[in-house]
Amino acid sequence: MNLLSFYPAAYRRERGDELLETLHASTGDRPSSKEVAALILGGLRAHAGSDHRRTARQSWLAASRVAALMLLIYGIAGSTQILLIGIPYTPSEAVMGYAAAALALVALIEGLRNHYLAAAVVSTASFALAAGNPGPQLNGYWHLPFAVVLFLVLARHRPQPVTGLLRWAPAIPVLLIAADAGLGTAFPDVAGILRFGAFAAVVLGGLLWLAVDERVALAVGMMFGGTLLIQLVLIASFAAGGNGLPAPGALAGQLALTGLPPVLLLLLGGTVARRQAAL
Amino acid sequence: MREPTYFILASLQDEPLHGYAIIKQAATLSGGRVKLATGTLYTALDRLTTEAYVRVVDEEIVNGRARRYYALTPDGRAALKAEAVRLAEAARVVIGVTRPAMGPA
Repeated sequence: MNLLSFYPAAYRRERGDELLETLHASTGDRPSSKEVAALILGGLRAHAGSDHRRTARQSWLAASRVAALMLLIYGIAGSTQILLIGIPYTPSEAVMGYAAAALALVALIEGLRNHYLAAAVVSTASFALAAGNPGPQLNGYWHLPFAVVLFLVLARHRPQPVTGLLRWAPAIPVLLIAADAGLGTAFPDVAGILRFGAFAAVVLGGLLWLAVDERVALAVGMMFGGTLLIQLVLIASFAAGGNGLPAPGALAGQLALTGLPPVLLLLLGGTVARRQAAL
Repeated sequence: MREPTYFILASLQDEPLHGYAIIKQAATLSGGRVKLATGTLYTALDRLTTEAYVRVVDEEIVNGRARRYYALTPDGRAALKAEAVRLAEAARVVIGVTRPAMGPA
């Protein structure tokens, strides 16, 4: 295995010889597993931009931007999937649904261009259109209010420009949607969590990626935190409407399963962000 | 400042060193506690270079490969000294200070 293959090409051209010379002097012809792991992590961190110091505040702001974009993509992809699979909408309901998706797409583009106030306004309009649709509800749009909150924070406290692998992190929700569309019942619902296997894989991936870039864990934590908020609102509205709720034990189990992953991701991500801020 | 960073800067306080020499000197100065892997060292050197605490001062070719020598910048030397003073003050709280014994209330 080329031990430097995990580093960016430009980094290998500039520093590759020097790293190999040091590695050879340090360990001879057979690098230890510790050396191999350090080179792999070093390469991934160089891709992620973690070889540059950043404050905890900068980590949280960058993660907030990624989370806002993730929530939009999750909303657009999930709702578009529902629109396309033939649920019986009237023509006017379908037009409202597609219009809401188009607005959410515009909000996504504005967010990617770092126009956060515009993204907040257009996301609000998209949510209002989707929520006001008399047809079957497009559940993906319930993530948009949290995206609006994040965009408003970012409009006030702008994050640093995004570079490296973090630019691709907003596409993570597509994995969840693709898993559902491609594999159907292969991922059973667990405690009301759709596509549970994919959900668990994304959470585990976020935790493992803490060693490379804590901002991804923070963003995934915020995205799933939004899902927890939606569940709490639904439970409250069911209770207020006199609808039946699961037994307390089952409800507590559902909430624990939904709530523990984002809490874990945010706590551990925050801890690593503080550590990353130290030289 | 993390301990490995402190000992990387400390290893450069007397003279410029190349990568392997920094690894050896950091291990010596830390009494064997800080054992830097190559990938970890260069991630730290990248961060310290970005912070302008170290800079490349020389380069030579050894066995066909580049060997770069790193040195502390004035800012790096000041940051190292500030951290050393902070650690010494923290240590004085526990070591070498006579405090009145805490008797019953």
